[in-house]
Amino acid sequence: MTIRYAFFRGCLIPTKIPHLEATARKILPEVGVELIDIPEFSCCPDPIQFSGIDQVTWMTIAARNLCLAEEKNLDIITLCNGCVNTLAQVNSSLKSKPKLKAKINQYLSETNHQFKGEIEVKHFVKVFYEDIGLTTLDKSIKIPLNNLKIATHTGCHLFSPQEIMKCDDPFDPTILDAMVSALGAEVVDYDLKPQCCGSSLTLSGKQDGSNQLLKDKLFSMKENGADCIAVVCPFCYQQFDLGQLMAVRRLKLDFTIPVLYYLQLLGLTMGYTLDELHYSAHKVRNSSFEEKCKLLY
Amino acid sequence: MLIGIQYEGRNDLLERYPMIERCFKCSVCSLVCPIQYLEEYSPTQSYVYDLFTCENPLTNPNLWSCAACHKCHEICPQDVNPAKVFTDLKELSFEKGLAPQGVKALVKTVITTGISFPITLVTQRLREKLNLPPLECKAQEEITLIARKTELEEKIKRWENT
Repeated sequence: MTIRYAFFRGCLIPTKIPHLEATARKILPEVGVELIDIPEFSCCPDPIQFSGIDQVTWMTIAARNLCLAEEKNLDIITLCNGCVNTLAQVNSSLKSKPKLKAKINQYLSETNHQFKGEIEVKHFVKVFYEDIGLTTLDKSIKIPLNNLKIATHTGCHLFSPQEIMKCDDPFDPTILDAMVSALGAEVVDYDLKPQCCGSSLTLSGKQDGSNQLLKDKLFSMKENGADCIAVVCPFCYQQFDLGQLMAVRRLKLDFTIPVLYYLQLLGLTMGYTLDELHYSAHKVRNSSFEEKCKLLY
Repeated sequence: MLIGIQYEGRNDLLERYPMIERCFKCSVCSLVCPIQYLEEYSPTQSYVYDLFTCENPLTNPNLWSCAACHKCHEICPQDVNPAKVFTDLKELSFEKGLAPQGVKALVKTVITTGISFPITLVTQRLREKLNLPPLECKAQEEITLIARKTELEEKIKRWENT
C-alpha cells in the first residue's frame, strides 16, 4: 500500500545537509510513502525565533503552507521536528479557534489561499507508527542491525506542547527506541536522554554552553556503550555532527559518537552501504562504528 | 514570587500572564532547561527566574536563547508556562528593535526569499553531487505580500529608520 504525502522538506535539509533529503527520497518510497513535491512551500517558519518575532506573521506563513497541501488534498509529512511543531501548532489553533482563523484568512486574502482545516501534519516518525506500523516496517528489513548499540535522541519539538503534538512523553521518550529496536539494534538507555540537544544555544551563538551540554550528553551515551546516535530532526543532527566536532576540538574530548538520521539506519537494514547513505558527508565519523557496519553484511 | 520586573511592559505582561506570580522559584525548570548550561545560571539562579525578575528582560541578550522546547511548561508544578511568556517577550523585544542582529537577519531572509537559509552556490553544488534538482523557493512573492499585510515589513522599517 502506498500513502501519498505532501513532502515538506524544510529549509535546513535542502540547503545545508541535502544528503538527508537524498536519503529520504530513496528510503521513504521503499516503505510505501510517496513524496509529492510542492515547490511553492516556504519556510515553516521556525517555532523558536520566528514565533517570537511576530506571531501573526508566523501563523499566516504557516497557514499558507497548510493551504498549499490542502489544495492538493494531501496530508503533510516532515523530516524536521521544528517544521512539524510550527505546522501542527498553527493547524490545531486555526482549526479550533474560528475567530483566529478568520483573522489569518484575512491576512492571506491577497495570496489567493484560504485556510479550511482539512488536513493533518505528521513527522515521518508519526507516519511510521500510526500509518505504516512497525510490524509492516519489519517486512522491509533484510539485514537486522544486530551488532549495533544505538542511543536515541528524539528532540524536544516533536513532543511539546504535548496536548497538540500527541506524540511521546517528553521526559521519558520511548517511541524512537521502539523504532530502533524494530531494526534489530540494541537500544542504549542513558541518563540525559530527555535533555535538549542544545541546538538553540549554537544558533544563538552560545558556543560554550553548547559544548558543555554536548560533552555531558555524549559522555552519558558513551558510558552506556553507544556505537552511534539515532535522530529524527536535522537540527539535532547538525548539533550532534557539526556541534560535536566543535565540542571535541574545544574541550579536547577523547571520543566521538557518529550520529545517523533514522532513515539512514533504516537504509542500512535494506542493504544499502554507509556510502550509499551518504555517510561520507558526515563531519563526525568513527572507524569502529564503520567496522561494525561492514560486519552486518 | 515577588516580581521584580520594573520595565514598562510589566503591568501589561502580568495582566496577560497572571500565572507568573505563582512561580515559587522551586527551580524544577532548571533541571530540564538547555539554557541552564550558560555559565551565569545555576539551580538557585535559574534562567526562568532571571528573565522574570531582571530589570528589563527585553534587553536581556539571553532572552533569544530560549529554545521554545516547552520543557519548563511541561514540568512546572504551578502551570506558569514560561515558554509562552518568553515568546511574547521576544515579540516585544523585536518590535522595539532590540533583537540580536542574527534574528533580524533571519526574519529579513525569510520575508525576502521565503526560506530561512540562503540558497548559495555551495548549496547547489552539494545538491548536484547528490543528483538532486537545483533548489528554488517559489514562495518569495507571496511571503513578501503576507509580511506587508501583517505589517511586519512596516515594523522592521520603523526600527531601521531610527
